[in-house]
This record gives sequence, structure tokens and C-alpha cells, in this order.
Amino acid sequence: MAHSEFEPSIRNLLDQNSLRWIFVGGKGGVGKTTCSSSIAIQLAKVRQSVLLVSTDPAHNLSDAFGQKFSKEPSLANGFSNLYVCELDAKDITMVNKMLGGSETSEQIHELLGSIPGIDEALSFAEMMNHLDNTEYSVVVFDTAPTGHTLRLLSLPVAIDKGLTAAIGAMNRFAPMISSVTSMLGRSELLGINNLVPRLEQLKLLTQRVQDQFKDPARTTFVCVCIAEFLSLYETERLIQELTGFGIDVHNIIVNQLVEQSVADCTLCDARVKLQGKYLDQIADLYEDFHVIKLPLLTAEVRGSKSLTTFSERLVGPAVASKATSTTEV
Amino acid sequence: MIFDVAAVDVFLFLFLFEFMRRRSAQIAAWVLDKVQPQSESASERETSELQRQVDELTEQQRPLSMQDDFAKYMKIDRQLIKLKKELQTRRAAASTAVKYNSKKLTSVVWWAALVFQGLLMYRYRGTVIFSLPSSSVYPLERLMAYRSGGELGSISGVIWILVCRRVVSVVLDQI
Repeated sequence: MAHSEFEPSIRNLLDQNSLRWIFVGGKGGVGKTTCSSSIAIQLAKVRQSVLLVSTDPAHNLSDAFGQKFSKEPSLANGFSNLYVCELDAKDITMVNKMLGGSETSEQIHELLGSIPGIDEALSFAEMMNHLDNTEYSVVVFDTAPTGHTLRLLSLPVAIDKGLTAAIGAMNRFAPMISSVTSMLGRSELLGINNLVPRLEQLKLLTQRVQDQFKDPARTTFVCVCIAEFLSLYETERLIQELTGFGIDVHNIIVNQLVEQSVADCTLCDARVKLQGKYLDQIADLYEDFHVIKLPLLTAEVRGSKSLTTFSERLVGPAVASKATSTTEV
Repeated sequence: MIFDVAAVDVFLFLFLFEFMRRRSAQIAAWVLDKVQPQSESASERETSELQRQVDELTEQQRPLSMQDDFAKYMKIDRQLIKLKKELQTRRAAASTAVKYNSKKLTSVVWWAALVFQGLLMYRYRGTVIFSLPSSSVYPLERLMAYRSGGELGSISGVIWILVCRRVVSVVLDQI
């Protein structure tokens, strides 16, 4: 197998024009936000428009870019085609949108809005609408830590099953409920008549999301980890779960690597040795993945300028941390 | 009281048929177990082979340290996950096949029991099973003699069968 086939860079993502959804995920604190921002910045160079979305309830994109973002996509400072938004899980305007706004009662909104994960599914539905409008060439997701993301990615299947059962039940009981409500003198109870078509619409949308997720030409997942056992273990479990879902994953970013040992630094020595051991394991286990190694820098990577400089490491060889450490105020 | 020994035969037959009907699933499972050939089918051999592979890989994985031999451990783990999934699918399919065959046979036994009961009823429809003084079954003496052609106080085969069915049900419910 040619070495260049699995080169340690994200060029494969930049070259794959058919990609529409790129998820960036991993254990908490490994650098998902920095990596997803960097990937989005590199994609902005080769794509017409890029949308970077945070689905993590503990949003960090505003802090990473040094710019306040909201649930509406905003242009990132210094870029002409990179848009960023942070989805608000508490905002049920999406629920309203999907269920017909004022036509459907508040009780149903509350009921459906409280189903675990329904807001994430609706967020995806919202993004599908964006994509259907060809507004953005590619969407990069800065996801929540592993467990939440796995639940998020399994939602389309779970929601599909739930909606099938709900629609079946509604169709069976709706005539009876309509009779009762007309006897009680109420024209409609809980907006039942409007609810079934909306649910069927939602079901179609979730099926489309499922199809998109399972298409490797359109969706891929980038795992971010650090060279430590727990992170590696979680990464492997994540990859196995993603494979089980049918979601493509062939890029791994190993972040926060101590590149060289400073003289008389026992801490550096220990870290380099420890990380070296796990890097060998990664090379052995993920021989058919693109494994991108990123250094631990002396300064935080914050702000558009700093992120842009850092993002170059994703497409080229890593430079010694001393020579290229960046500081952003 | 005139007593026909057929009364006992009828009761015993009804007991047997109702027992068969209620235990049709177990009887079907027993029959399938006896009738299926002792030698394993190809599918069962493959399932056994998969299980052997799983056991072998588990043994290989056991002495490894997940932390020190992470790559090796996880490579085996991946194979195990794949094999276990395949094993689960095969066993589910086999179980479905067994359930389907069992269901078919259960249905056959159930219907056979019902048909035998019907034939029994037909056989003894005009028979007087035994006779009692008519005063002892007053005011139901005409009903009790239904279709027997016997004098009042006779217990016809049809009535006897219905009574026996009820008694057998009560007895089998307690077992």
C-alpha cells in the first residue's frame, strides 16, 4: 500500500468535493473545537462556502474565534466564506417550525420538545434545509464529547422508529378522539389533525438524514484524540460505534503532542516517552487511517489569525513547537 | 343407574386430547427434537465453528494488557465483535426457524386434538352413556337426553362429552 494513500494530513477531506457533512468529535478536552475550526478554515480555501456548527451545549466557537456567534450563521471575521453558528438547544422555534407554529398547541410543543434528543434531530433537520438551499458547500460540526455525539448520531434511527409507532397510533385513535372532541363541542383537541402530517414530514426528513449519514461520499467523521490510554480507548469505541452506524471514519487527529524533550525536563521526557508508546499503538491499529499529528503549543490557539496558522499544520508536516508557537492576544 | 363403559373411555380420550391441545407446543418441541437428524446440519456446523473461533480469540486476548498491548488487544476485539455479531444473527435465524417449525407442528397437534374431539362427539352423538332416575336430573332431563333417543333420565353422549370437557379443563388448569 502506497504511503501517500494514507498521508498524515486532511488533504483527503479537501480533495473530496462530494463531502457535505464533516463531524469532528472525541473525548472532552482533546481539542475538538480547535481542530474543527481549523478544518473549516482549510475547507474555506477550497470550497465556495463553509458552515461551522457547534452542537455542543457548552459552546466554544465564540471563544475560539474571539467573536460572538449566535444560532444564526454569521460570517467569521477575516473570512469571506466561512460562517459559524452555535445552535441553541433550548430554543423551540425549530419545534414550532416543524410542527406548524401556532396551529399546534403548546402542550404538544412542550411534549415533543422534552423528548431527549428531539432538539438535536430538529437541528439536523434545520441544517438539511440549509443544504437543500445550496447555501453552504459543506457543513462542519463541532460536536459534544463522545457519548452525546453517539446518541446524536443514533437519533435518526431511534426517531424514525418512534415516529412510525406514533403515526400508527395517531391514525388508529385520531377518528375516535375527533368524535369525542366534537361531542364535547371542541373543534380540535391538541391539534391532532395537523399533527399527523407534520410527524410524517419529520419522518421523511429523518430518513433523509439517515441516508446522508451512511453515504461515505457525503458524510465523514474525524476523530480527535490525545496520545493517552483513556482517549485512545474512547476513540476506538467511537470508531466501532460509528462503523456500526454505517458512518465513514478514516481520519484521526492526535493532538497535544509534546514534540521534543527539553533538557533537564523530566516532565517532557516522561510525556514524550508515554506519547511515543501510544503513537506506536496508533500507527499499528489505524494503519488504514489518515493519522494527523498536532503539537502541543506554548500558547493557546485563539482568534482567527492563530487558528489560520494552526490549521496549516493539518495539511503540512508539523513544525517544531518552539519555532512556530503562536501567541494571540 | 345403567352405566356404559364408554363413559370412562370418552372421559379418558377427552382428557388425552385436551392435554395434547394444551401442551401442543411442548409436544411439538419434543417431536422436533427426536425427528431432527443427530448429525449437525451445515448451518449448525458453521455456528459451532464461529463459536470455536470466538472462544479461541477470547483466549488469545485474555493474557494481553489493554494498556500495554492496546493495538493487539483491539485488533482481536474487532474480530470478536464481528464474529459475535455474526453468531448472534445466525442463532436468531436458527431460533426463528425452530420457532416457525414448532409453531407449524403445534398448530397441527392443536387441530388434530380438536378434530378428534369432534369425531368423538360424532361417534357418541346418539349413544346413551348412562341412565339416571329422571327425578335426579329434573328439570333438565330432556336436555340431558339430547339426541340420545333414550328415555328421560338418560345422559347422552353429546352432553357427557361437554361435561367431561369442562371437568378436564378444570382439572388441567390445576396441573
